[in-house]
Amino acid sequence: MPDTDFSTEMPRNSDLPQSETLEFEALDAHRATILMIIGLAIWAAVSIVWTVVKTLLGIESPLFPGEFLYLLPLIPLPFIIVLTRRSAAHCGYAVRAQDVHYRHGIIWRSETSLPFNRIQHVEVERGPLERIYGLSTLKFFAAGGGSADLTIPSLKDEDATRLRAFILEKAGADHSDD
Amino acid sequence: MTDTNAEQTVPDSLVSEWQRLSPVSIIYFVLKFIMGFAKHGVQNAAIFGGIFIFSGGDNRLPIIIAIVGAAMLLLLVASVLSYLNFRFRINKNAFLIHKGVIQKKRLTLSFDRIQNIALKEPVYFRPFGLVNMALESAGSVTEEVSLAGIDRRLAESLRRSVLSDPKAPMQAESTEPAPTNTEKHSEIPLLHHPVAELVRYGLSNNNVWVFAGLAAGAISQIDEDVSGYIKDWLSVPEAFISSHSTGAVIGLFAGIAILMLAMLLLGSVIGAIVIYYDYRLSFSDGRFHRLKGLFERSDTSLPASKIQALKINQPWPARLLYRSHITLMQIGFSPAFDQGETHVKQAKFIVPSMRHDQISALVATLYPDMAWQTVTFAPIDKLYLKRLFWLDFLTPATVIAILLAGLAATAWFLLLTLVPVIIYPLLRMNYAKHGYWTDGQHIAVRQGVFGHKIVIFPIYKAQGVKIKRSPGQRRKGLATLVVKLAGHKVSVPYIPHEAAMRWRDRILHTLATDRTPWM
Repeated sequence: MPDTDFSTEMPRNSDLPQSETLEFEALDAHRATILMIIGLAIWAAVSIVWTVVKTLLGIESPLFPGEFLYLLPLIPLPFIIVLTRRSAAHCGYAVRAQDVHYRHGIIWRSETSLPFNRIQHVEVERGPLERIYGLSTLKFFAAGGGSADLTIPSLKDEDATRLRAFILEKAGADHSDD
Repeated sequence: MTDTNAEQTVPDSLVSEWQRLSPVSIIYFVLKFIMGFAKHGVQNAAIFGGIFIFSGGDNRLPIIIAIVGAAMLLLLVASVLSYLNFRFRINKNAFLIHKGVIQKKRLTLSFDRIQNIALKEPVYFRPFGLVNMALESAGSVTEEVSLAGIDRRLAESLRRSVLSDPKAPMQAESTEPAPTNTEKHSEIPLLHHPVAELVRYGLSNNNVWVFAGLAAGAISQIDEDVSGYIKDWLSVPEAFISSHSTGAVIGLFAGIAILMLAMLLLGSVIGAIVIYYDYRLSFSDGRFHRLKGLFERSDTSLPASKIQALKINQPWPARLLYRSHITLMQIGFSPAFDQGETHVKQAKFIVPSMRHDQISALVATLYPDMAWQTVTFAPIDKLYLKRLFWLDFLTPATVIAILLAGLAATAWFLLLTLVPVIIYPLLRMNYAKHGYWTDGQHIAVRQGVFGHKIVIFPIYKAQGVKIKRSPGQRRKGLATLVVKLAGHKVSVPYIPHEAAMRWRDRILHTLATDRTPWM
């Protein structure tokens, strides 16, 4: 590549597989339910703490009568419901011939890509909520760093097993020939 | 990954039966015990406290002498036992080690797993021609294996054989004809530091400033905690303070602060000289070779293929001295790596105090295809600076200012909102330092405030890519690109989304097609 024009930008090479055309597959429909249960549990815990603190310390506001402060936790409730639903709908994964991608987040969006030949190992996790719906979380680890580099939550058990086998085969095939 | 076809072996002449280290290694074990004792200072303070309590009364001195004597005897016995129980043998393809007095350990360390072998030559080994051979392998910090007290020549030939490329035709070191000018063995000298350079490193590495900050914090902490005691103690200075003008007092404290800083700098310079004395770096056969150390000469060689990235660090004091410090970033894996344990230790290989031309030579050696002179960093988007100022600094400052002003019922706290305005030039400098560059095969990313850090890596060393977009970035068509390396993450914030996607395509394509092993 003799072009010196690359100093700041990667060459636009039309044969490269383009990741902007990635087609993400949605997670299982129960993902929204699981997210909402988790969201509501956290919300409930915070609300209880708030109620206890409010009662014990007798926090007052000059703006409105004290009793209304008990209703304060209701404000974030609609956001939790709307955001978890939209977040679940936006999450998705894509598998191409050489790599796997996962996108998540609706306010701060992110897309993570991991090539098969850099995957060191794969973990399958089934949390208590996921077990109820027969779902699994797939975690992919590359070298370096203790946490998973790519996590696909809430896959149907059989999809997770299939995907894991497919990717492990790809990753393994690659290891043996280098 | 571990290559199973080409197994690492040593010539038959090096294979040995079970043997002990040299008896001189007893000194090593004694020092090791003492170091271990000193490192666990907190627990040992309790023991000394016990001695102190026991030794109350008239016969305090004899008891202390008896205890110290017993401790020394115990130390000696333990060291001799450690020596007697340490046995090793060299196989065709592994080190076998038996060690431990009470808890016996048997280690088998196959040559394939050895990343690096460092030969250290402590002062007390020097007269005997012995070295401490540290096997940096499987990377776990706790299980570092070292053969302390083996013959230097044996260690050197072992290292050559173990670290030679198994795929290359085995060059039996012993049978090789007189060292001719075979290109494989041409050694490229890269660096030989005189003491003056180490002084520069001591003055300009960041550690001393970090340490100064910590020390200042610790001192102020003590000040709060035991101010009562200190007050009595400081009655003299206090009298001084009350009897002198503010100017004199400020002068006194400034003098003390400068003196302390000077002491820290002196300590840092001495440390740099002790650690890096007679620093030599060279390159041959695809490996970097380093010699350093005053009391303990250490001799390390690092295969270039194990280097994941190169970091050029120029903190602001180094900038004044026209030097940069380079870190060759590598990783070591824990022994359980193959079983899915991905926790890694980040091993550091520092090349201190490099001039610009020396950096060019090093970069050219490590990445021959890269034209370091032509690197020009592209600026990131201005939105980064806006976010930094408005969101990361002004918003929290305003919230804190309003809360404090409300709680303390004084408007003075609102002045806190000026802090981000005052430090705006620093934020601007940070924004201006951000830059990114690529030639389609290598990536370089720069950041910093006063000084800078540049990370350079070839694309095939990447492990994964991530594109992140905040709402503000989406509005402006921007994105943050994060490239994951083994044991390190490189982030390129606020670049055009289009560019980020193109970089991602290129990286993923390279990773899928480039067969160069990344470690």
